[in-house]
Amino acid sequence: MPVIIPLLSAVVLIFFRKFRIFSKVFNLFGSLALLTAAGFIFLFVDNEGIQTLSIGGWKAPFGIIFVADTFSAIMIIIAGIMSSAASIFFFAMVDKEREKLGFYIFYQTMIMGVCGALLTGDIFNLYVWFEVILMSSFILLVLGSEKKQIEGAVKYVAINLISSVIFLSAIGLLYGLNGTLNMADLSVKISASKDTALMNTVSMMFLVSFGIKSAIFPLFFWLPASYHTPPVAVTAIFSALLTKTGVYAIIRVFTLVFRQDMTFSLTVILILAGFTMVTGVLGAAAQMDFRRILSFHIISQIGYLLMGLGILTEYSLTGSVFFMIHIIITKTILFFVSGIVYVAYGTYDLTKVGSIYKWFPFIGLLFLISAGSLAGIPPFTGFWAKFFLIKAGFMGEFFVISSVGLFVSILTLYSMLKIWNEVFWTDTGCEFEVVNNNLKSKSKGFKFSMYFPVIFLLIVMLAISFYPEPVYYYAEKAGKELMNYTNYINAVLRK
Amino acid sequence: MYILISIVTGALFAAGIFMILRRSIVKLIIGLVLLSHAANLLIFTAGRMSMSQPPIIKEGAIFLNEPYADPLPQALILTAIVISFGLTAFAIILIKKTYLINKTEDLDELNTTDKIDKIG
Amino acid sequence: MLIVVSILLILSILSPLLYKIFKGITNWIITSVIITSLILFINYGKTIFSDDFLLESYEWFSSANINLEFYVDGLGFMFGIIVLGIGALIVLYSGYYLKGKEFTGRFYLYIVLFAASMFGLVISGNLIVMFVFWELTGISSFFLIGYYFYKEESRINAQQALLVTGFGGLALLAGFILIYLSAGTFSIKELLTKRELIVFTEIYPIILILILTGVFTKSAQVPFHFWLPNAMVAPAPISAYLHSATMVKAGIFLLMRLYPVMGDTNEWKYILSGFGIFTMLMGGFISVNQTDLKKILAYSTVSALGLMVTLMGISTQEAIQAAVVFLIAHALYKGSLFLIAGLVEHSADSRDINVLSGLYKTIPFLGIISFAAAASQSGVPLFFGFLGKELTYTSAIDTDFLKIFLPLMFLMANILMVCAALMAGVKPFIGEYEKEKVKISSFKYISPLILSFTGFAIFFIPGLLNNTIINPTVNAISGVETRIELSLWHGFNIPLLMSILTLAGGYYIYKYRNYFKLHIEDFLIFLTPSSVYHSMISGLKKIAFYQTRILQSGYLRNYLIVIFSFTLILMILPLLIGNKLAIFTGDLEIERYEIFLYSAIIISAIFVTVTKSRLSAIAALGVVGFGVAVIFIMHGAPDIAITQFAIEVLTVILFVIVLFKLPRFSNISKRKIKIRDTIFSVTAGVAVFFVLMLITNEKMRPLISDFYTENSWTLANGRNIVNVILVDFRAIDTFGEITVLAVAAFGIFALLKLTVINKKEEHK
Repeated sequence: MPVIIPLLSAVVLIFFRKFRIFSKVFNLFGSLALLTAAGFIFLFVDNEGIQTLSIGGWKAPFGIIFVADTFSAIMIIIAGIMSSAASIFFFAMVDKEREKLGFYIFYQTMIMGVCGALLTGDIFNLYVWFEVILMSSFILLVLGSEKKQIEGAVKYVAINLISSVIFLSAIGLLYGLNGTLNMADLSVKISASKDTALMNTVSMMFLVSFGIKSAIFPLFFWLPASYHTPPVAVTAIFSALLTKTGVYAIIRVFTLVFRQDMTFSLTVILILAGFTMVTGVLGAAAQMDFRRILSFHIISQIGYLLMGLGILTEYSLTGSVFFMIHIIITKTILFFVSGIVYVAYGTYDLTKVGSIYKWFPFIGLLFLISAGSLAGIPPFTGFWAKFFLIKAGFMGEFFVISSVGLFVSILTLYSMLKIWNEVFWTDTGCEFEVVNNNLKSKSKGFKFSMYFPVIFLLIVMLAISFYPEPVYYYAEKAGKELMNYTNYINAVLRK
Repeated sequence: MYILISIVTGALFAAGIFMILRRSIVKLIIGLVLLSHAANLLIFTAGRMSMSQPPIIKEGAIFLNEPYADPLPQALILTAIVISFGLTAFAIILIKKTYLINKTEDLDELNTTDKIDKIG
Repeated sequence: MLIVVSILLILSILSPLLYKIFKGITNWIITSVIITSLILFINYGKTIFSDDFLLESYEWFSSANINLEFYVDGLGFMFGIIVLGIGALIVLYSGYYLKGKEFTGRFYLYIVLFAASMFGLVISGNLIVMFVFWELTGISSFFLIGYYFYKEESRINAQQALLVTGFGGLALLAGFILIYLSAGTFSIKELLTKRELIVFTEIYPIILILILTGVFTKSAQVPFHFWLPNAMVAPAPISAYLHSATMVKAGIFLLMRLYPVMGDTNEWKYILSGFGIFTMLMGGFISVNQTDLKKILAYSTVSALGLMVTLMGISTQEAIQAAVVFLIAHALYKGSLFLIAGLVEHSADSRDINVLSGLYKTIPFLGIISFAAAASQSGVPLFFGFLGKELTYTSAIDTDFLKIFLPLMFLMANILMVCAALMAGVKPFIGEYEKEKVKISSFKYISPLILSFTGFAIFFIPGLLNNTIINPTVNAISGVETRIELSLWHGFNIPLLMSILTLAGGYYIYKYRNYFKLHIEDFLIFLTPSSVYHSMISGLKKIAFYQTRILQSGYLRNYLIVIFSFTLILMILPLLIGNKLAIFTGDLEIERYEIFLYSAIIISAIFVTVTKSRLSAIAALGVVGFGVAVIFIMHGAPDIAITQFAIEVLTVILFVIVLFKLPRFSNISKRKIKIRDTIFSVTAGVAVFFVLMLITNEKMRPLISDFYTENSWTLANGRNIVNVILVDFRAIDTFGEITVLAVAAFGIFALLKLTVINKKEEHK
């Protein structure tokens, strides 16, 4: 269902792309329908355990099978929420030219790819969905054809195509070793084999390939080069869904498929996690542009997600899942806020924007809460997420990575303070009349679609912050399922 | 048999990697095409290709007689070929646009979006 | 308890609104609400006295063992009263102090938020709840320090304070988590009974260091003290409230709270007294060298905090009592002095004590209040500060810890404190009359007056105070039931002698402070961690810059080379570890035409890389593609081969069409780089070759393909199995594949069309 809905929306949008308003509304409608479907899947998974759906009626491992466990159900629901929120944001933020060229078509196919990737239980099918995402994101990225967009896109395309080549080769080798493509079946076969070395080689190829997509150290180069070039609405949804789908794939593959002897792979993952956190946050600290700081931060946060995987306990995976929920919501809010600032000031340059705190305390508040959450200030979601991960780290006696995690959060605080100081406090000589006019002159509908998604997501985030219990419950459930992967295998192979 | 085809695969990878490390944007795309050939060959090899008949069931037969080539890798490669064609076609148009808009084919000149030049 | 905290939090959120409505009298309204909550809080006192503590617990986050717990014993009770009592006075004062300034509404928001979180901190019964409030105090402090945000100094110092205390906060969090892992609970009430589980673990020193890092940053101990004097850019009521009376004492509070759990060990004693003594002396020395009124007060606050930390380090019943008494006294007189300093600045337009003089003649009433506060700080008999000082000396003399050294250190610190009191509280008021008479609204006097004279008044009722506040607090900290009497007069003994010495010495230094200055300044240069902080920040910026510059260089080929080398290393490492590079055995049966085909592919691939002509490169690329297709045919894969042929033709055509619009290949790479890339890519190729050989060497496991070959005709009615797989068994792959193609087609269409739009715009 979550795959079909965006597809249908995309098809409808193809025919009606000339009608701007219709496209906008229908796009939102499609996203909401997706959210509803995701809600149903979530309920099913919650009540009846892991759900499977064999496409075309062929049983696993022969046909392709879609699987929804708690983790993917959570991810799908978040994808639904984010795509709906972004769809509202698009009302204000996507311009006419882009709409005429079918912006929403590509948006919907991208969502479709994301949902497919989150649900599939077949490794080659995962590749296909990734290509769908990639192709759509390429186009979303270059639509508009501004000089810098194209420049960013060249790097994005080149590096991601390489990721595809590595992915494809890895699948070939994996098939050559095990003769099957279903992930659950692979897991069984791999556990039975004694050959760790070759399997590690193949698993590392997957790590690299997904690592490129999720922008881990030292494979993240495409992200800072391209993410800040398209319109902010696109950046926001990219950051919410694309890199996170990559991380999802890493977590899925390493908690399900390569569970044989994990000493080598976990060590590698932990080391990479540490470097990813540090280089990401330092990269952010070096920037002088609102959106580039945020983009670099994506990398740093990916490190935390990997840290939970590298520790690999029920608790740490719970931490990772919680962190995933937290970071998707928080990061999207921050990008949206940067978009609002851009509407007012017409630039993302820290040295040019100023005095927001003085003139628009409300925007300041929106930024403040989400930035605080990102930096891990209690009691916001970021605090809980980091708290779980650090605690998991201490419990497993991974003191180095835990200290790195703590230290990075002070650097995160530093770079958030940098934005706050430069953009919100400093008087950079902007004129109040001009800026205020930029905001005031917009229509009511424009303002609504600009502020509503931010406020909505902020309320969601605050609700999770002050009452983390339910979300934690599901994160814990997902963590347990990931750790005890035999349930997944049994559900898929009907044992 | 595998040894030779592995050498070919290796050579294609080498040539592809060499090409994408050049500064010319056209060479970058050529390199990517070479790499996707290499990946297809790799799947083919790893899927134990053999000198045998195609996996087509003869008229009147129900099963396939041994020996036959493994059909699954073939299906995968077919999918992969088509997908990579889509990507390549897009990439080719992209370089054209790049050249038209940025007036350069030197990748080293395309670095304004991520270079930083002063301590912030 | 929850209700009190909630009232304050709601009040905080509402206060900008209240300010909009009530303007100038908002401070009275807020003050009265705070006083109401104080009364509510004191009402709980009965329970606390009868049961020793009060526990309130609400379900919150039970699966993580974190509940909203409030635990109030004597210690929490004392701190709660200080926080709310002084808070009410400060808000009242602020209303007049900030009259006519911008953003007063936001100011109230932050200061009430601070009061709420500080109050929450001292009554919380769960370490994580406490941590939440702990960080909230830091955040509200950040906004209050940055109240004058349009000044760069304010911004920098606010950031500094938040980063330093934030750093400590993280250490603290780590410590709390380790405590949890050792003792299995975050609840303070339960922790109080689990001392053995913490003190006797191997990680006790680590826990202690982490917790103390948090304490030292918050309570401004050397080497983290520098943020406190810098925080003096905040308005005077903030300095009085946050940075002397309450927030900086959060660290001391935590020491007292955790004393029963982890105190009184050798590590505890030596670390605390070591840092404490150093801090109190250094704070003292620096304070007497300042000329800025607020800086003097700030450094003497640092010194006082050091003294309290030292007292906690001594770990005797007497020392704890001394710490408690001193803490109350200090909150009163230092709060008052800061408020006075604010009024002095307003009326004389200066904070430089060399400029200020003779203010007694213009504002005599303020002078009296100031003298009283200074007297309390100096420990003049009849003032509460005297009791604190006496107890400090007594406890230092009565312990075996550090023998004679300890009293001497205290003596020295107190002498400097007397001098600071004279400089800040007395000097501006005496001497020549310079300024014209100024009028100060009588409301402004209220708060400092109450603070100063509480210090005077409670000297005479030590019994009452002792039974209601001090003894319960000491009991709560030490966990031992005690009734130490506070008496006004201990007779002629060593502490009294020392007190007299202190006063005399303080006056002496005050008089000759200009001589001392010369000697100390050289020494002080080495003791400026503030500059260490600044070089750390600029170092961080530099590291961030160079790291990013190197990694994110902007050159795609650098990125690619990093990615490929990384991939290769990761691929080869497991093989090396697993000792997998053994020699393979394969059949080497080779047909002649195979060699021909393969060498043709390889040669054309090489030709692609070296040719200078675009067209021949693309032609050679086509040859490679066709060659690959031939391989497919030879090995029983006609379907792929056909597709491959078709696609290859399309690609080449597309290339050729586009190519005419592109420039010729220019040979831009340097020779050296070319050689490097050749070596690199050949290595990569060889690696791929090896891995592939290893894989094909392994036995293939049972194939799922068997299923396809068996069921293709029987179940799916197809003879060409590849096609059956594509359209039936794995139909969804094909579905995705078509999507990709469709999206690509639309994307290319959009890309091409955009050019048109761009061109049109250019024409216009």
